[in-house]
Amino acid sequence: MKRLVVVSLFLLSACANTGAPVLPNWPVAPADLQEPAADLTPLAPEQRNLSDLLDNANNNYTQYYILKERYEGWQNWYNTQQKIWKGLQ
Amino acid sequence: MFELIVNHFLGNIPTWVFPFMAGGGVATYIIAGIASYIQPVRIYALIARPVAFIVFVLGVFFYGGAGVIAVQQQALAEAQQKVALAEQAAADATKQLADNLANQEHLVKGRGYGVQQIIIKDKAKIDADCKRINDDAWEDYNRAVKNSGSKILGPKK
Repeated sequence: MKRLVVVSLFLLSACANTGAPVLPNWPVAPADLQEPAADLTPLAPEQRNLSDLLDNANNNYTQYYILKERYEGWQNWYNTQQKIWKGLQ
Repeated sequence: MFELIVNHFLGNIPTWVFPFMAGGGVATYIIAGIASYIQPVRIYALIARPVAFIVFVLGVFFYGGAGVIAVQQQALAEAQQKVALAEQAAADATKQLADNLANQEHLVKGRGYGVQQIIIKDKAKIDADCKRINDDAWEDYNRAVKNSGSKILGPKK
C-alpha cells in the first residue's frame, strides 16, 4: 500500500504543466503614427494682412486634420490589434 | 527547473525506451522473485528485486512524462501556427492602415492646398477691406496658436 502511494505521487508529478508558452510579437505601429505631433505655426511679425492670417489659419487647420487622422488611426490600429490578440486567447 | 530537466531528458530519448524499462523491470522483478528460492543466487535476487522495482517505476513515470511531452508538443505546434496566422493578420492590418492613413493625409493636404489657392486668388479683395490687422488681434491669435493663455492669466508654464 505504501508503495502504491509513492508510485502514484511519482506518476502525478509528470502531469504538472500542459500549457503551451507561446505569445505573439506585439506588432509595430505604422511609421506615420509614430511621428511626433508638429506645433501649430504662429503668425510671423511681418505677417499683418488678413490674407496672411487666413493662410496661416488654413495651414494650422490642415495640421489639425492631419493629427486627427493620426489620432483616429491610432484608435483604429489599437482596436484591430486588440481584436486579433483576443482571438488568440 | 526540475520540469525543464525532465522535459529536456524526455525530449531526447526515444519513447520506446520507457515501456521497455517498465517491462524489463517487471520481468526482472518476477525472475528475481523466482531466483530468490535458489540458494546460490539468492543474494543477487534480493538486490535485483528493489532495483527492478525502481526501474519499473521510472519506466512508467517517464513513459507518462513522454506522453505529456507529446501532448505539449502538439499543443505548442498548434499554438505556434495560430500565433503565426495572428502575426500575419496583424502585419496585414497595420499595412492596410498605413496605406489608408497616407492616403487620408494626402487628401487633407490637398484640400488645404485648395483653400490656400482660393486665399491667394482672393488676396487682393480680402486685404482691400483690412489692410493691416490690429496688433492686439495679431497677438491674441498667436496666443491661441501657441495655447499660451490670456494676458491676464499670463503665459502657459
